[in-house]
Parts: sequence; C-alpha cells; structure tokens
Amino acid sequence: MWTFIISWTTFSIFFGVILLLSFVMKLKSLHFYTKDVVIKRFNIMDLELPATPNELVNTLKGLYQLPGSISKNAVSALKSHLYLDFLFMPFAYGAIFILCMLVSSKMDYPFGIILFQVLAWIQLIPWLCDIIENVYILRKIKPEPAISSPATHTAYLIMEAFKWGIAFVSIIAASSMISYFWLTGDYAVSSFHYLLIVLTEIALFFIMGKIFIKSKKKAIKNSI
Amino acid sequence: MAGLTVDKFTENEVVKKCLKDLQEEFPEGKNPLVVSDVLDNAGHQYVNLVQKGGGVLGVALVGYTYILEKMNIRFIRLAGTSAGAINTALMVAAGTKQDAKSEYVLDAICKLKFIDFVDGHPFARWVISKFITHQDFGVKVKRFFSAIIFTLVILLAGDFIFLGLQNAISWISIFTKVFFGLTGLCLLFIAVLIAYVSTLLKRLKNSGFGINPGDFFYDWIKEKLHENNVITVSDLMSKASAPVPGLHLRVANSEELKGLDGDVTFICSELVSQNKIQFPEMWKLFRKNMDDLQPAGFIRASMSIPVFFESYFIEDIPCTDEEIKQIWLDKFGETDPPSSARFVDGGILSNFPINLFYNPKVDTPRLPSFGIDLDDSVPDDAGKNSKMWSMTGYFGRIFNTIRFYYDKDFLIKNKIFKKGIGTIPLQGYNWLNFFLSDKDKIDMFNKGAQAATEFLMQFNWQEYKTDRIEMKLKIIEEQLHSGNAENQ
Repeated sequence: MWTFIISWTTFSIFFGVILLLSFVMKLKSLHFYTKDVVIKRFNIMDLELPATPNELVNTLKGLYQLPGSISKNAVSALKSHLYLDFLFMPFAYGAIFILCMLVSSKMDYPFGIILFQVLAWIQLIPWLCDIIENVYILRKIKPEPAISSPATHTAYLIMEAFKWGIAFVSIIAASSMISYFWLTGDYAVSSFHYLLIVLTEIALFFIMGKIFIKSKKKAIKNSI
Repeated sequence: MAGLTVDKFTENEVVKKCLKDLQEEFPEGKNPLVVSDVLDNAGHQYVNLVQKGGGVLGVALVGYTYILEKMNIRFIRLAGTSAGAINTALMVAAGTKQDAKSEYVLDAICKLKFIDFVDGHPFARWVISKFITHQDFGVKVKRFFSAIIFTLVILLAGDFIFLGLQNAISWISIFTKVFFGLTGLCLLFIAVLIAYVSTLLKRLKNSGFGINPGDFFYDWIKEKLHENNVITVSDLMSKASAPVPGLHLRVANSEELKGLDGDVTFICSELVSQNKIQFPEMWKLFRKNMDDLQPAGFIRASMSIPVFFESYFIEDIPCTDEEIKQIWLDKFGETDPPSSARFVDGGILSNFPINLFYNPKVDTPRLPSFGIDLDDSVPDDAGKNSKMWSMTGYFGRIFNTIRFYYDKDFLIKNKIFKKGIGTIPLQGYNWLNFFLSDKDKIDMFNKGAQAATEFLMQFNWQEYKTDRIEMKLKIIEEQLHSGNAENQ
C-alpha cells in the first residue's frame, strides 16, 4: 500500500486532480468582484495576503454592496471556491509529500534522505494553515464582518508566510533534485511515461482554459 | 506625535520675534496696520485668502495665517487647492468668522500623524518612506538587484562546473546537489519577487492607479468637520457665508457692503469631463439635492495627488435629468454629461487659484485678496541648460509648464494681485515627505510666520487700492480702444 502511495502513479493522479480542481476554482474566481468605492476585481490572494485588516473587511463587505445578482454570484462563487479548496488541499499537499518522498528515496546520503522526508511530512503544517485560513475567511463572509485586531492580522499573515514558504521551498527543493537526476541521467526509463502523463495533463489544463475561461471571463465582465 | 503641542509652535522664539517686530512696526494708536477697509466692531480687518497646494508644506500655511490672525486680520472669502484646501476647510469649519482659527488648525496638526495619510500597502509605504528620506535608496535598490543576478550567475556556473566534474570525482556530486538546491531557491526568490511586484502593480491598476486609498484622510477631515457641526454641504455653505456682526467700511465705497457675504472654494480636477471643478459652488453638476454630497469629499477630491492617492469618485450622477443636463451645457458646453466623475488633485490645473477673487466690475476695492505661495524650488543652474536635461527632467518641465501656466497667466495679466501674495521659501523640504519630524514641522511653521511678517511689513493697502483703480481704468481704456477700432 505504502509503495503504491509513494509512486509516480499516485503522483500523476494527484496532479491531475489538482489541475482539474484548479480549473473549476478558476471558473469560480471569474465572479470575484467587489465594490470598494468602485466595482473592481479581486483574487483569492487579496484575501490570503491583505495589507491591512481593513482591506480584507472592505473586500468582503464590498461583495454585498454590488448590484443584486452580481453580489449573489460573487458571494456564492467565493464560498464554493473556499469549500472546493478543502477538497483541493489533500491532493496539493499530498502531491508535494509524494514528490519529496520519491526524491528522498533516490538520495545517496543520510542527510539528503532525512531532509526530504522532513520536507514531505512537514506538509501537514501548510495543510493545517490552509484549513485555518479558509475557516477564517468563510466566517468573515457577511455584510458587516468584524475587523480583526492588528495582532490577529499579523498572526494571520505569519501563518500565510509559513503556508506558502514551506510548500514552495519543498516544491523547489524537490524539483531541483529531479532536474539534477534528469541531467545526470539518473532515472528509470520505465518511469518515463509518467512524465508524458503529467505533461499531457498540463497541456489539457491550458487548452481547457483557452476554450472555457476566456469566453466566460468576457461574458461576466460585460454583464458588470 | 506625543509631545508636539500648539505652544511649541506659537511660543518659540522665531514666532515671538515676528510678532514683536510687527508690534514695533505697527504700534497701536500711532501707526496701526491697515490692510483693508472692511472692519468689524472688534477692530478685525477682513481680507480674502487663497492658500496654495503643496502636500505637507501646508504646515507653513498655518504659520502664515497665524501671524495674520495675530495682527487682527480675518477672512471673508477663502479658497485653496490640495493642502491649501485642507487648511481652508478647517478655517471655515472652526468657530465664527471673527475667531482666530490657526491655533485650532495647529491643534489638529499636533494630534495627527501625517504618516497615517499614507494608508496604502505597507510595502508601498516602506518604499515611499525610503525614497523620500534616503537619497541613495535608488542606488541601494540597483545594488540589490545586481546582487540577485550575480548570485544566480554564480549558482548556475557552479551547477555547470560541478555537474561536469562529478563524472571524474564522484564525491563532488554532493556539491552539485547543494548547488542545484540553492539555484532552485534563488529562482524561487526571484519568482516570488516578480509575483509580488506584479501583484502590487495589479493592485495599483485595480485601485484606479492610486497607491494610497486616502480613506484615513477622508475619515479624519470628516471627523474634523463634524466636530464643528459641519455635517452637510448646506452646513458648510452656511458657515462660509455666515454674516459678520457689525461689519462696516473704514471709508465710503459705492459698493457699500454688497457681496461681502463670504464663501469657500476648493479646487479639483475632474478627469471624465476634463474640467476644473470648484466645490461646493458647482455641486449642482452632480446631484439634484446638495446634501446628497459629502463636504469631506470635496476636500478629499482636491487633495488626490495622482498616483500617490486613489482618485475620488462621485457616482450615479443623474446625467439624464434635464435640469442637470442644462447645467452641464451652461457651465461647460457639455451636451452629454458623465454618469460618474473622477477627481484628482486640483493642483494639476490650478494650484494657486488667486483668480477666483478677481471681480472686474469693482472700481475701488474694499478689501484685498491675499495669497499664500509655497516655494520649494531649488535654484538649479542645470535646469536653465535645456540641452543637458534628462528624459525625466524634460517631461517634468513639460508637465510643470502646463500645470503652472493657468495661474501664472492670470498673475502676468493682473500684476496687481502679486501685491497681495506672500511667498514662503521652503527649499529643502519634500512636499511628499509624510514622515516629517516634529522639528521640521515647527521649522516650516516658523518659515510661514516669517514670510507673513515680511509680507505685512511691505504691504501697502493704499498703494494696492490705487493700483487696482488704475488697473480698472486701463481695462476701460483698452475696451474703448478696441471698441473704436471695431467701429472704424
């Protein structure tokens, strides 16, 4: 079972699910409009890394200040985006976990083996941070959300830094080692087709984006 | 700002000396200061006042008005742009026309942290503070980016060298792996940096190309107006036009007290219809009911330094309403009024609107128009050598020529108004330095006080009046000439 989990097969499946859920979330995010003096677009990063406590509140409050159906769509899109994110998390952090474990298994020296195992298991921290973040935002989605205290806001930003920092450092470290194994020819030819699967998944993601997202984006923009 | 009190401004030696010099020059009963023919029963003399815009240099304006008020000068009509509009608003809102207002404005300054006006993203705030307070910050930024590129080059070179060597020396593979890891992290750092900058640029675009929302300022000025019971535009206009009890003329004038009602004007630049807007006078362009607008919004609009602050918007203008359409047509010849208006700093069109108080019908003036000019220009010989200008210098000159000419043209054609203008020299101060120290604020205030003293020492009301009469005669003469020429 463990051998199946820590395999390129599972990674390819997880990666495919990540792209599929990203695509659905991208479609949802097309409705992300708010009214802060004027109607403007926002993205999920504006909620994850707001400059001030007021900024987060203004963005969320603005959802309810939009005209009728646009407001309804924006609120529902943001909520479903966040709920989908709960589904997205195990696959995203799971994929990083698998990647790090696979790299660890190919390392020659104990330091490298342990380092990548630590990077793999440490993904539980960003996962937990991500859950807290989503709950925090979901609880604030209302017409008059409370402004967080400066201390809470700072703690939230530190949590975000941990989340992104740990995940990104792990991805980059693992990718760097995979590049190294690739350049030194240190890979099993039998696993070659997984690379093709991942590349195909990426290509499909971009093609679907070109077909669906562009036209939908235009339609939503025109309706506002 | 704890520690900064009104006394520290008004009780310092420079200000005391200014007042002492003026009292010696104009002793009570012997040689009193005469600046106007409009007086009240308490002996205050009334003038009109225009205050120039200039960001934080506005502190100097208060020093100037403080001296004027100490010399028993009060104001009938007030106007200003940007920082001048802020001072003007506070002076109109506080007390009555007979009261001195500068100490109230000073108190507001003492309780205020200017840095709070810079309410944009903390990173933008940090960059602004560094650029303004550290002259070599640009060089440091260049060095930082050079260091990143240099590190990346070294790491890539290491990857290349160690990868080649490990075929011959197997233990080198440890270094290859470390260098690969570090290269990845360096690339991650660069990617995060690019993503962060692009996010900030996107934010700038989404916020209508304004770094700071200006919300703090809006709330602050609104609170100041409210604490003086100026809640609506009607309140503001009532305050500005409130009659002065016992107002009378020193010498007879055919106009008597006609038109001495008082008003207030804030200058804004409106970008949709591309017009200069004078608030509150032009409120009818935007609403059917005056009190549907916010007086704090007028001042917020006037001080919206482009890019530094977000624009101020007035939305849902009833642009299809026949009455409003007619007003736009009469005022600006605009047949298709906009449904929303976007305002930026009035200073881009008229930073020193002294022309507002020019009334060509006046034969003999009853009161002068005083103007407070802020001069932060540094004598620059290189600026005269147009062939040596950099690209930014060249575009800066174009922008400034356009920006200043509207007011300059008026003063060229109506030189008499120059006699009422006092200039505060503020070389060395950056008008966007919202990180001013208390010492700088007091120093600016002192410079304002000194400029006012100098101005009052040389101002001659009789000469001003005579020149104004001569100017009027000259205009009549020119009109007669042009009339004759047309008849011939």
